Amino acid sequence: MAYELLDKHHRLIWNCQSCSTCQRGPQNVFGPTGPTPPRICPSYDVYRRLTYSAQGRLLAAKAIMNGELELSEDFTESLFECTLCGACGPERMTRAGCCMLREQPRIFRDFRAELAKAGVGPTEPYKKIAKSIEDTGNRFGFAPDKSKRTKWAEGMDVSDKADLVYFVGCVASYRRKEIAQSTVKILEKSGTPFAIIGDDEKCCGNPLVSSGLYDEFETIAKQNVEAINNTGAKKVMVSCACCYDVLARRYPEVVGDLGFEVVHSSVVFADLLEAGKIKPEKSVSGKLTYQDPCHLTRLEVNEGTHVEEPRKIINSIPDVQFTEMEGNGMYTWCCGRNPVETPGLAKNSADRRIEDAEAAGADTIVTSCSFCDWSISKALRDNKGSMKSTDISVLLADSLDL
Amino acid sequence: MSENIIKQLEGIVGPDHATSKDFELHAYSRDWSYEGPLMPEYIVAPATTEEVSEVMKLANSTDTPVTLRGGGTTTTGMSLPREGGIVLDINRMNKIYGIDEDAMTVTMDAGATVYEVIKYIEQRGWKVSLKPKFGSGVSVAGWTSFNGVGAGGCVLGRVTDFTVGLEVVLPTGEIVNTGSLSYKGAKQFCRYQGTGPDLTGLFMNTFGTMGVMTKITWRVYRIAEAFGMTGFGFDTPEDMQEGVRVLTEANISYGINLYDDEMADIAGLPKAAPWVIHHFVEGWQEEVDFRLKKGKEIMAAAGVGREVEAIPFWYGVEGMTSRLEPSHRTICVGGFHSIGTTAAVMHAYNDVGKKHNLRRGMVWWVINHYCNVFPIYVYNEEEELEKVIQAATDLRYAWADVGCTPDYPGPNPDITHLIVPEYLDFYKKVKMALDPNHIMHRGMSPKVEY
Repeated sequence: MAYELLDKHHRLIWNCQSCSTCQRGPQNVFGPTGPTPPRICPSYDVYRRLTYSAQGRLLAAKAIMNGELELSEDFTESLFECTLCGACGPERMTRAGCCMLREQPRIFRDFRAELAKAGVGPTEPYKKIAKSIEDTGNRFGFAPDKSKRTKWAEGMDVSDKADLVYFVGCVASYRRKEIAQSTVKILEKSGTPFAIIGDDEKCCGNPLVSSGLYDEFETIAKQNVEAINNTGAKKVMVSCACCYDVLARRYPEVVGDLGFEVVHSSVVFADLLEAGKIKPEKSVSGKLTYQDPCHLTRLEVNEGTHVEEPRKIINSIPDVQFTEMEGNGMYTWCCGRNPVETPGLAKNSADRRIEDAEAAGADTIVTSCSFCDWSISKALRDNKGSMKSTDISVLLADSLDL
Repeated sequence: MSENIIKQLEGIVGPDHATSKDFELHAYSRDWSYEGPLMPEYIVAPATTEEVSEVMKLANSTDTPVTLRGGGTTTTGMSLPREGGIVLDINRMNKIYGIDEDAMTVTMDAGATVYEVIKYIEQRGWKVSLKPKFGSGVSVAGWTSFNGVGAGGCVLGRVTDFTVGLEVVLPTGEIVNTGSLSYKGAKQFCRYQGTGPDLTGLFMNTFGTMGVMTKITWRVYRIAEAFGMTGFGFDTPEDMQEGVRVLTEANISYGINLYDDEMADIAGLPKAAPWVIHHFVEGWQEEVDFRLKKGKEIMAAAGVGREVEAIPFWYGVEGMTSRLEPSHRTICVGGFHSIGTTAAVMHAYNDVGKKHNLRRGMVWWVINHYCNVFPIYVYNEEEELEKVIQAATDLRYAWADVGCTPDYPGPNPDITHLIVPEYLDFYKKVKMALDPNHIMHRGMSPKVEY
């Protein structure tokens, strides 16, 4: 059987050194005492077997391509127990460590696409979400009542035509409306003209591309790009790092030239602060730490990382108390990402990050990704602890007294 | 039979930690060496010493081979099952029990990684004698059972030299403690005392063939106030050998490491000279200044070498060899030799590399007045595997001709025939006493038949 998508990665798969760098931390590029992450792989952290590591998955890929291993649903389950966070390969950025050229997430997405083509993937939760997206345009399966997606904007004066368009995303539209509302309030306060796509916005397609449902992803990508272009946008702002990754990096792969630039809201807010268009004046209580989303710090960040901008925003707040967790910037620990698709993995990963925050002496975890916020806040609710989680837009809006 | 064994393994460690699923077995079919794929029949990942003991009793009673796996970073396929059976993954056993400041020791589970432990102790102001120079996944049991090496062993030696004692599960399942824990009421503070011969050493350099290390105690040392280094460049292996000899005789070094211009090319380091050594010193600042100055004077008096920029590269062989594009694998053939054979060892490595037209790189260091050579050859698995295996074999024999002994005697090439027969007989007696059914790491060098 031919595996065209996997075959693109033939040399990388064959030359994985099986060196274990992808499983166990801290990595050693700076020596034992350098700025290393507390641990590497969320999947391995749960299962502690090579099967649940990049190394094990690459060996399985090789065996499958060699005809030594049959695709199976059992195997599919194991392959999907991965957040695609890319922690298995970041050392390449500093030119030491894994030789996979940071390609693991791309390889594993293509691997999942092979499983989908063979009819043994994706897993049931992903299938369900894909069906929801197809039927309703959102990952939660809320009825395609046109007023629902923009319900968060009721009472707000938002345009549908502007150079800057805010792509809200499913989580901020339906689950964490305060992210969308805060983002809009900040833009209004700064006097920045903007528009939203409104009811024509659909899920960015992240669950589709992550699960290897490439045809379905291409369809929704084209629909969203058309809807965005209908607004006359020159720049699209997203407040979710996962949406950012999909719009900025995955859409051009299937659509080509988008006709607009994609930016993350933390970059826009940092620019507004720099330009003096907003000025936080209200202090916030407690000690803050920041959860770097993988998509802004290490995953295919060819356009540059966004490590500094969120910290600039946090540190602009009067009298702020800020502390770093071990493993930040490109060494960030994944939030767990998918509380619905892989609940056990997500819970363990989020719990570990909460432990990191506690160890750093923080009482609030700030992030700039709806999925980080969702995963961590869900774990916090389950744990009933005193730690809090918030999005950077909500934090900034509070400090602007909006 | 196989269903019975997997059920019993699940009964010991729980169903989530034992498996015989085909895709899980494939994940364990390779390690950092060129060996494999070699398939196990079962994977088991115990969490406690007691679980290890039960697994070993089961394996022994059913004559099932057992292969231990920590980080799987052996260079010679030692973590691969050569006759199927159980791969016992120790990575769930990873607790660090803390530093005993009175005994100046740290104790940890076998599956903690060396880097985790070093980070832990360095954050508390302590160190082990070596700075390891390998990848992040190496377990303390792997480093200890392989009697590992690293940068900075000129004074305090190898892992053997700072291992105080062990908790070990024997192949027949009994749990024993070596070191001072062998005496009732004593804590683990020293390796040698009046309870008999060095039974800790029985498990050193054995690569898991004699039992399963489950807890390990290392000596820790206070981190010195200051650290310094000087680089010296040489044009020939002979000059480099002389430079190393005079520095080692002076006994002023914490570490003496070497890389060649080929490795510099791979790692993206400046090519300061064909052969570059780093002379590391540590101590109080005045002491460091003195030792560095003395080192330069000694080298000048010897009339070999020149001072070059010293660049620390702690990220080790794996880190350095991962820098090449496109991606590739590497083999590493390690050995030990006396200082006087250094030039011959280097020439053999170069000759074999040239003969097989392989890209290569040398990493090497002095360990307590002798040397550990650890070069790599670079290859593309699809096209050059056979060639690189032949190169490894050629190098092993070329080194044997100049008196360089193997560091980790993997099964390929098997070096059993190079071992003195009387020693091999003695080894076999000990092995048979500990492992009567020969279940541990079957097929490994030194090969013995029962």
